[in-house]
Amino acid sequence: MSEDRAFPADPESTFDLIDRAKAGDQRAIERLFDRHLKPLQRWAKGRLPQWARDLADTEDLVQDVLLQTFKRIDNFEVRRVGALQAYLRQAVVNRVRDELRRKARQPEATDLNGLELELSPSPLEDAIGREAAERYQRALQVLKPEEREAIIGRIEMGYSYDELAQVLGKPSADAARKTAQRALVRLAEEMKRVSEQ
Amino acid sequence: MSPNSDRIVELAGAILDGTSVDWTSETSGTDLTGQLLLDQLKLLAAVADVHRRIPLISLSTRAERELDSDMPSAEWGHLRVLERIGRGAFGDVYRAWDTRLDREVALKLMPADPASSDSRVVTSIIEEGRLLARVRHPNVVTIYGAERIGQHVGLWMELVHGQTLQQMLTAGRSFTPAEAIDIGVELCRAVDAVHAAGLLHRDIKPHNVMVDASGRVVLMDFGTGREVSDPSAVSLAGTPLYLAPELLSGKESSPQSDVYSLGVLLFHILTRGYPVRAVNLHDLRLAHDRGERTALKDARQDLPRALARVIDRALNPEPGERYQRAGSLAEDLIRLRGRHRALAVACGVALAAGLVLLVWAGTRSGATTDGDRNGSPAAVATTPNPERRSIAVLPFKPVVPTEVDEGLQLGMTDALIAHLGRAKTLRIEPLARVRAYVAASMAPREAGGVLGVDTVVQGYVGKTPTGVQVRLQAFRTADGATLDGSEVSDIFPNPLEAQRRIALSLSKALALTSTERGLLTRQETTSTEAFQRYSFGLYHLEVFNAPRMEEAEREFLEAIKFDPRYARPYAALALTQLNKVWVGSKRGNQVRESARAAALKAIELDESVALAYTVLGHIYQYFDYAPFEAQRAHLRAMELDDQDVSVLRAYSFFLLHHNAIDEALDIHGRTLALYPASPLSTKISAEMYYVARRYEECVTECRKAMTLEPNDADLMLSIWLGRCLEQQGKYREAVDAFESGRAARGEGALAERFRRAFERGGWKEYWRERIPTTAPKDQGLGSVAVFARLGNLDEAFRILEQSEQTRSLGGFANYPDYDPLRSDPRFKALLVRIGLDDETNAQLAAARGAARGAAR
Repeated sequence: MSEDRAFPADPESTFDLIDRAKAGDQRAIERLFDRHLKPLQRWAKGRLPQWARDLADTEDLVQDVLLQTFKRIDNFEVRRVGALQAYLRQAVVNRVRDELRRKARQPEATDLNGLELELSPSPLEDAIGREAAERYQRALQVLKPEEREAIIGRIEMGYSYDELAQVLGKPSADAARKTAQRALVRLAEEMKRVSEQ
Repeated sequence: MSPNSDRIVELAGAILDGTSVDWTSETSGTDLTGQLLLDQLKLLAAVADVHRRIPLISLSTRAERELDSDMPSAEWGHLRVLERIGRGAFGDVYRAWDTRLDREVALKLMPADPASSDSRVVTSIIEEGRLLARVRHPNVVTIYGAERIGQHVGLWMELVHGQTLQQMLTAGRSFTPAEAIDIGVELCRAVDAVHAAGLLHRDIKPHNVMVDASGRVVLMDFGTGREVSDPSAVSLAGTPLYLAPELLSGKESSPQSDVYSLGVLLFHILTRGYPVRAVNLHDLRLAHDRGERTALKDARQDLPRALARVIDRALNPEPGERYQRAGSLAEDLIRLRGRHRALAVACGVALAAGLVLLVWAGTRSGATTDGDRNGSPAAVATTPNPERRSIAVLPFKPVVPTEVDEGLQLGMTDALIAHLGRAKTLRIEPLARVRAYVAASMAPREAGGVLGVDTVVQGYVGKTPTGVQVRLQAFRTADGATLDGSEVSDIFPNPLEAQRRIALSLSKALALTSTERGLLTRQETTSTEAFQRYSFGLYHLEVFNAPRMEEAEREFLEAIKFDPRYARPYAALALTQLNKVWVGSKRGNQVRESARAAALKAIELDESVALAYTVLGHIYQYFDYAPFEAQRAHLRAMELDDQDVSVLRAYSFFLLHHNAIDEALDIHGRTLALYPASPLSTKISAEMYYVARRYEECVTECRKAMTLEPNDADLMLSIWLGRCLEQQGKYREAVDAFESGRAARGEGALAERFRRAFERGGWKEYWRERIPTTAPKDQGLGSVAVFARLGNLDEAFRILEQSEQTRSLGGFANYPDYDPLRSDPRFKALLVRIGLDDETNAQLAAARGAARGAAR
């Protein structure tokens, strides 16, 4: 009934899973896949403009990115909390860029790094307007990595607090919520600062 | 005005949780800066909302189908299923989004196969769900609705963020008697509300009780009990240990069988055992038939007898001998607990918000009856007082709805609660509970019902050009009528006058004795400045470090300057002197006489100031090495005011140091109940668990506190954490705890050096590196602990004896750090000299027992 599962939460931290995946543990790869697919799909749907989502079925694209990434998990170094999450998002962006090139659209017209795509608005821009969306993006970049991952993880990727705790390496769902809460206040203050400039 | 930072954090939480926020009311009355910040938060809420609305399940990719083949369907009626959060015997629980009301809910889905013959069961679940939806109570999970759609019967309800009691038990959490009483009272109220709706719960057990982040106890997961219409099938539910014996022999459930389950639950959280044990259903029936049961008073002989009696009565095998209603059980439990009162802490908050808060600090001694006077604190806490009336003060509202003055409203509320708390015949609901359970829109009578109090006070306050305008009334919960003479409606020159008038009116309306009336309206100081300084000082005391002690001292001296006849600042000043020793900035012999002088001055001005006796208790124990006098002083302080946090804390440490660990934890539990959110309380919990050698709980406590306040570069917290980890043999983690604490205090280089020592040569090397470099004569207990770990006993005893001379030992005898010294005869001899030896401890315990006996 709560966010604390009735059954013990998955004891495997992302770090452990990555280690095991590197050692060739197929189950660990499946678990990583399981853990990241849905949140990434949710994120991609919110951030990508309609035309980009039209390029390829977003869900399939995200799924492929995950498969490709986990095949090459050897190359992945865990440096900080939430690193994998951020890495996967970048991989999705890169993949969209590849799709663009492949379909010979105009890559120059886009700056895909922050997914600030020029052509048509994403659902996010649709909802709050381009200027606000930009402010949000800029402010996010100023935050510390942990804060950024907490916010993107919770509000864009829809992680439960338990999952967020795993991603951020926090001891409990409640700790993850606290982190996200503080980060969100920081973000709002940062956005306010940007808007006052 | 700007929204305060707490509110901003709450709003951030609401955005993250997906709870809806009324932005219009949030932004009304805020200034431009506040408005700008709220605008950003509102934008962020929109960002969260966009993503939340993205239909997930339409993502019917291959993997999705494989991963979630057992997910019923993305949309279930008007609910969007987001994720599974629990699995139960009868169905799964999901986090879901209610698209009609835009809120997050918990959805329990049970398969309903139309082909099966169980359609009767399905109908009854839905019917029962709908009945339950009518039960509105803060301690019962709110059911929003029940329906059958497609292949599933669903029950959707409030999503509670927290842990079940079972999860807490599994995590090694233990419950003090005070906590068990609080949980019991709230659960009884919940069960009573369910019964009042004509329903039974049928499945009360720790798995079905959640405690949310604010400490609210929520009863959940009922309705499905219905499926077990055949009692012989009960074993399948997996919790026969909680079932009343009559159910096992085929009788129907009743309110009394729910009462029995409540009893088992309380028995279990206090003992981790069960009154009747068996490994299977057959043996359980047999055990019940043979009357093989353990009474709580035997299972835990240390419990207050009155508490064991109450719970054992709920567990009577004869339904007719039990409490007939959960409400009666609650009443008896309430009588067992000490009065709760909102504390001066809130003052700190209000003052920080810029409010001049006026509280009459009053005397208590005149109010105590002769019986109370002789009573030991324990007896006071556990003797039922049937005449004690209960009263709740609802937060003051603005006189003009648009003119909100949060500081003034909060200040008036707190001050009134503090006043009423002086009358021993009244039980005041703590403000935290009122806040948690009473919605702003509730009528006073309804609020009274929810809180279970006899009387409710509702006031309105606002500023006018000529002063403070107040309207106030007290209502009887029973019939909603206004208490005669309780009305106040006037404009006062200042809040102080307003408070005095309110206290006077209420004491008349409540027909208090003239002595109590005197207490309620008496002023200790007429100087606003003196009171303000004193309150600021208390605020500093709460942060236990050397610089804050200096701040506190300054404030108390200022207060005395404004009003030299005001007793309280003297007592607080004396306490500050003592604290300087414990934070390490002074030696005991340097402050011993100045502290004593200040405490005696306080008593000379007002002999009812409990804190002054507390300070004397300290001085007798730690500076004079006179434990019996110390105990008498502490008991005197407790007699005068067993609701004062400083008094309770000092007494709990006294008990802890004299190895009366359970008593210490019990008293500390009362501090926590009065003052749950204090960082200092958490550190004390950690220290007590450490001394009690309950290391796991200590670690949990520290980690919890660090999550709450990660920037709190706190010496003590990292030290207790590190020490507990050490005792668990987790040396690497222990080093990490010690050294991240050190680094956070700005001693990064040193921390790095110590860490390197550990990497280089392990645990011993680490401590060798930590051998103090200060001059031998300046070394204190910290150094003793280092030498003890390294086995350098001579050096350890040299410093101990030196600290004995400078009166800076404090209590240390039973701390695990000193275990390596324990077998040395010098250790025993030292304990005897300073009155912390086993024999003295036993005599002190006997004296406390005798005092309790005399009180009975």
